[in-house]
Amino acid sequence: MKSIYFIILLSFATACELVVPIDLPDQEPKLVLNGFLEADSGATVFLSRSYGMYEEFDIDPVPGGQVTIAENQGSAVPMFQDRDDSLRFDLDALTIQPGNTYTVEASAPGYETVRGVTTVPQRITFDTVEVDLGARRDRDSVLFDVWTLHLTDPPGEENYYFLRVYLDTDIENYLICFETLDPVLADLDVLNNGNDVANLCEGRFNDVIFNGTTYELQVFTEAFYRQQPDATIEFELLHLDQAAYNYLLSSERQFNTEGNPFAEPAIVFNNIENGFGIIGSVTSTTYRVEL
Amino acid sequence: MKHAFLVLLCLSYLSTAVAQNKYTISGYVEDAKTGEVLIGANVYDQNTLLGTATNTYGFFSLTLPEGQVAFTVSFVGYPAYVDTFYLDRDTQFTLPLASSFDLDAVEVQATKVNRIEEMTQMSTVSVPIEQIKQLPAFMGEVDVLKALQLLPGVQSGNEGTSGLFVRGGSPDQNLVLLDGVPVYNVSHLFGFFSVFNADALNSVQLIKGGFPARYGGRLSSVLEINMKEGNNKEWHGEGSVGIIASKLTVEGPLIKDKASILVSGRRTYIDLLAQPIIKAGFASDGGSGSAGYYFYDLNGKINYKISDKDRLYFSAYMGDDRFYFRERIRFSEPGYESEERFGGELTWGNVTSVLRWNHQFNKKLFSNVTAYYSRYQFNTGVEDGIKETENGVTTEEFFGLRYFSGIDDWSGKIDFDWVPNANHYVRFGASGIYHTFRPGATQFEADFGVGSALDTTIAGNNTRAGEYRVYFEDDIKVNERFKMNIGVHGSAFAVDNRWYYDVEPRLSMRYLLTDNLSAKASYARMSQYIHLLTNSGVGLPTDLWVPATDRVPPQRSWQVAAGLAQTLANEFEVSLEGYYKVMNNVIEYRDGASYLGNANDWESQVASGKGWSYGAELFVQKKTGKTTGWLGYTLSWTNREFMELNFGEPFPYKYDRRHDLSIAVVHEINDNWEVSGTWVYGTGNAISLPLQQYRSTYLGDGNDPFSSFYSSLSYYESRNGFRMRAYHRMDLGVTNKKATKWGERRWNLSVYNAYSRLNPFFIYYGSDDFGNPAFRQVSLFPILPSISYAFSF
Repeated sequence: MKSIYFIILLSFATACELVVPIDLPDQEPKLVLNGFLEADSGATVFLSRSYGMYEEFDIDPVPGGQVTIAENQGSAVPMFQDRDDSLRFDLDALTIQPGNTYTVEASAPGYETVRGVTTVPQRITFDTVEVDLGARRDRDSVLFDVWTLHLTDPPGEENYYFLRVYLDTDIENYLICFETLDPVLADLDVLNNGNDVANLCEGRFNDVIFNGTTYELQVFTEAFYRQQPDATIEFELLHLDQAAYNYLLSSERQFNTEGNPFAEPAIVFNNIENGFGIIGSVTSTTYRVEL
Repeated sequence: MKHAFLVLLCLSYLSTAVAQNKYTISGYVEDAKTGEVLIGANVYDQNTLLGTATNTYGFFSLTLPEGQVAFTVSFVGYPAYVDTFYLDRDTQFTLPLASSFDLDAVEVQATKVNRIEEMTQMSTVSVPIEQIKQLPAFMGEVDVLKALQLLPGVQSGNEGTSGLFVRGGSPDQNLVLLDGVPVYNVSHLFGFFSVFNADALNSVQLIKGGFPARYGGRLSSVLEINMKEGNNKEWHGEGSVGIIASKLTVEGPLIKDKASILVSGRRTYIDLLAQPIIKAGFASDGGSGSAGYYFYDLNGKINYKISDKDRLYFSAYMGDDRFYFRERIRFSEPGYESEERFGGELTWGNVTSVLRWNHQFNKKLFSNVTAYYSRYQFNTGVEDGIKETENGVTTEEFFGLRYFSGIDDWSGKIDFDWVPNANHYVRFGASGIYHTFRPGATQFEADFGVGSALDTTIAGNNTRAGEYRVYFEDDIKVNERFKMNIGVHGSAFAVDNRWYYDVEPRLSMRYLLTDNLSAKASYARMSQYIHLLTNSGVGLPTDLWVPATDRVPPQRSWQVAAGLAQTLANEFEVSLEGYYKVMNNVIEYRDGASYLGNANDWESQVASGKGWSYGAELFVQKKTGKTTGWLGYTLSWTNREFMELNFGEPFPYKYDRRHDLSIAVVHEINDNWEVSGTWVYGTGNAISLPLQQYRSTYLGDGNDPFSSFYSSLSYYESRNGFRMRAYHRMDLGVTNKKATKWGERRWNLSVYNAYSRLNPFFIYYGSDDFGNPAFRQVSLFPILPSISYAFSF
C-alpha cells in the first residue's frame, strides 16, 4: 500500500515548488505546561513557551517562570526549577496519591497565567496472569508463549490503560515488544497493513467494550526471552486519566500524519487553560512472573 | 386535499380525450447518415406549439388534435425537419435527420420549443460531445469530466484531477451512469484522466438539482452518459494518436438498418516506450526485469432492431489502471546457483455490462427493461520467491501478499414512458440492486520449503446489501405558461438485517414570464445508502465504497433552487439560478485518521455530520454558429459541521470556493482551421494550517536521564481556516482539419496552462531557500504543450 505514496511522489518529481507567504493571524506566545503526575512519586512538570510558525522552534526556559501545585482544596505550593534542566520543575516533598486532584499553575512575566487540573486514577492490577508456554508458532516458525492477563475494570467510569512488558534478567531490565490478536489491544490499522498479527511495544486500550467486567487480554512474547538465565517477565499496567490518554493518542496521530498532504492534520488534545500542553496523571502497577 | 389533487390529475389525463379527436404521432428520431438515435431532439407542432423531446432511446410520442399540423423535428447541429400534413389518424415513423455537416451552407438555428426557458427541468446542462472534443486537450487527451468542471456549480477539486464537486457535494455523491449503469471509479491515473473515451460517446447530461423522480441513489448530481449505438448504415471509424495514449473506434452495421456494432479502445503506452530504458536499468544491476504503468478502456455496444416495436441493446465497458514491476536475479558460483524473483502490481478498474430491451406497447406507452452488472475492484500484491541449488540439492521458498477490495452490483430495472396526451409525460418504474461490498482483504501465500505451506486470507468478510427503488413522475403542462414536473421516489436499503427507507418528493416548475423568459423553481429530496471512504480528494484507487450502517447512517439531502432562464438573440441560452442544499449524515475522516488499509475498522475512523451549500450560478451557453462555448460563474458557500471535528464548530468544506469562473470558446475560422480556449479562475481551496508550535511530552518524560526525546506539536485553531492561492489557468488549442481520400485527418496542438501559472496542489510547512521557517507550495503542472493526430474514415 505504501507504493501508492511512492507513485504519487514520483509524479511530484516533475512538480514545482515555491515559497508562499501566508498571513497568519498574530499569535501571542503562550506558556506550555507539560506533565504526567505519577502516583507514589514526586511531582514533575515542564514549562516552556510556544513559538510562531515563522520563528525558529527551540526549547528555551521561560525567564522568570514559576510553577505551583495544589492538592485537592489545599493551598498552592511552589515547585523548584531543576538546576540541570531549566524547563523542569519538581516537588519531591509531595507524593502523588491516587484519587486526589492536583492543580498545576504556571506564570511568567509577559505571559498569561496557565493552569491544568488532573485527578489521579485509582490503582488497578491484573487479577491473575496465566501462561501457556510455547503455545504459538508464527509463520516463520518462531515459538511464542501465550499470556492471558485477567483484568477487572472498575464499573461506572471510563478507564484508560497502557500495557508494557519488561524482561528482567541478571544483567538488565528492558522493555520488550509483544504480539497480539486481541481486538482491544491490536490496532486494526496494523493488522490490515499486511500483518497477520499486531506487533506492539506498548499497548494502549480503553474499557469501551468491557466496562465494569473482567476481561482477558491475550499477548504473545517470544519464547526466546524466558530461555535467558533468571528471567522474569513483568507486565506493567498504567492506568491513565482521560486527558493523558487523549493527549498521547492525538499527539501520536499528529506525528503520524505530519507531511502527508492527503491526511487531515490532527488537532492535539490540550487541557491547559490559557496555554498549551497537558497535565495528566497515571498510576502504575507491575505483575511479575518468574520463569 | 390530497384526494382533490388526485381527482384533478385524473381529470386532466382524461379531459383532452373527450374534448375533441386526438391522434398520436410516435416513433424514433435518428441521424440519417449513421442511424444513431438522437437523444433530446425537439419534436413539436408549430401550429399548436405542443411538443415533446425524444427520450434516451430516441423515442417520442406526441398527441395532437385532429387538423393541419406543421410537424417539426430539430436537434442541435441539424437543420430543422418540417412536414405539414393533415393529422386524422395515429402515425408512427422513424425520422432520419440529416446533419448540417452533410448539407451545404445550412444555417442551424435553435428552435422555439424546448429551448431553455421552455423546459420544466432546471439545473441541467448538456454539452454536445463534438463541442467537448473541440476543447483544448490535456496531454493530447480530451476529457469529458474536465469539460464538465468548466460548468457553473461544478468545482474541480485538486489541480489536474477529474473529480466533480457539484454544489458543495463530494465526488461520491455523483450518480455517474454509463448507458444507465453506475460507474464507481471514474478516474485513471489518480484522477488526471477520466475513464470516458469521448470517441465512444453519444451524449452527456449533468443534473445538479431539481432531480426528476426517475433518478435516485446519490445526493448531489446525476451525470448521464450514453454511448454511441454504432452506425447501422455503413462502416466507419475514428481514432487518434497522442503523446501518452492512442485510441480507435470502429462502428458499422452487422445487418444493415437492423443491427450495428461499435467497438472502441484506448491505451496509454508510456510503459512500452520506456521499456528499453527500464530493462537496461535492470540489466545494469545484474538482473532482468520490467516495470511500467498503463491504463486502457474498452467500450463495446451492439444494438438490434427486433421489430418496429422492439429494440435490444448490449453494451459493455472495461477499463483498468495497472502498475507493475518484475525482477529476476540469477547468481551462480561453483556448487551453488540461485534465482530470485521479485514482483508486484497495483491494478484497479471497472467492468460494466448492460442488456436493455426497449418495447413499445402502443403509441403512448414505451418501456425499457434493463439488467446490468457493475464492478469496481482494486488489487495490489507483491511476491518474492527464491530457488537455490547447492551441491545438487534444490530448495524453493515463496512469499506472496495480496490486498483486494471493491464493490459488485447486479441489478434489474424496468422503466415506462407513458404519454397519455400532450399535457402529460408520465414516467414510472422500479429497480433492485444487489450490492456486494468487499471492504478489503489481505491474502498471504507462503512456502518456506519446510513442508508447511501457508495460504490464508484475513479480514475478507464481504457485506451484501439490497437496494430497491420505485418512482413515479409526471411532466404536466398546466397551461401555456405553467409547467411542472411532479414526482416521488421511494427507496429502501437492506443490510445486515437492518432496513433503511425513504420517500423522496420531487418538484420542478417553470412559469413563462414572457415569450422567451421563464422563472423556474425546484425541490428535491435525495437519499444515498452508500459511502465512499476517502480523504485524498484526488481519486486514489484505495477509495473504498461501504454501506450505510447503524453507526454511519444513510446520507440524506434536500435542495431548493430558483432561477430565470432566457434565450437571447435566438443563440444564447442564459440561466441564473440560486440554490440552497442541506446534506445530512455526510462523513469525514476524524482528525489524524488516514485511510490505508484499515477497512474493517472504518466506522471508528469516520465522523458523521452535516453539510450545507448555497450560492448563485450564471450560465451563458452558445451551441450553434461558428463560435460556440459558454461562460459560467458561481458564487457559493459550502460548510460542514461535525460534533467530533473542529470542536463542533462549522468549518468550510475543503472545496468551498467563493468565486468560480469558467470561459470556454471554440471558433471555426474556416473549413480547415479551428481554435479553442478555456480560462478558469477559482478561489483557493480551504486548508488547515498551524498557527503555533510547542514542546511535546510523553509518559516518562524527564525520568530517563539518557533520553532527550521531545518534539514540537503544531497548534491548529480551526479546520480549513486558511486558503491556498487562487487558482487560474488558460488552455489553448488549435486544430487543422483536412479532407482526405479516405476521410478526414486532424492535427491538434494544445497548450495546458498556457501562461504557466504555478497553481497550488498542496502546501506544507518547511523552510525557504535560506533555511528560515516557511510554507512551501507544491504545484503539479507548469505549461504543458501536447500534440495529437486524429483521423476518421
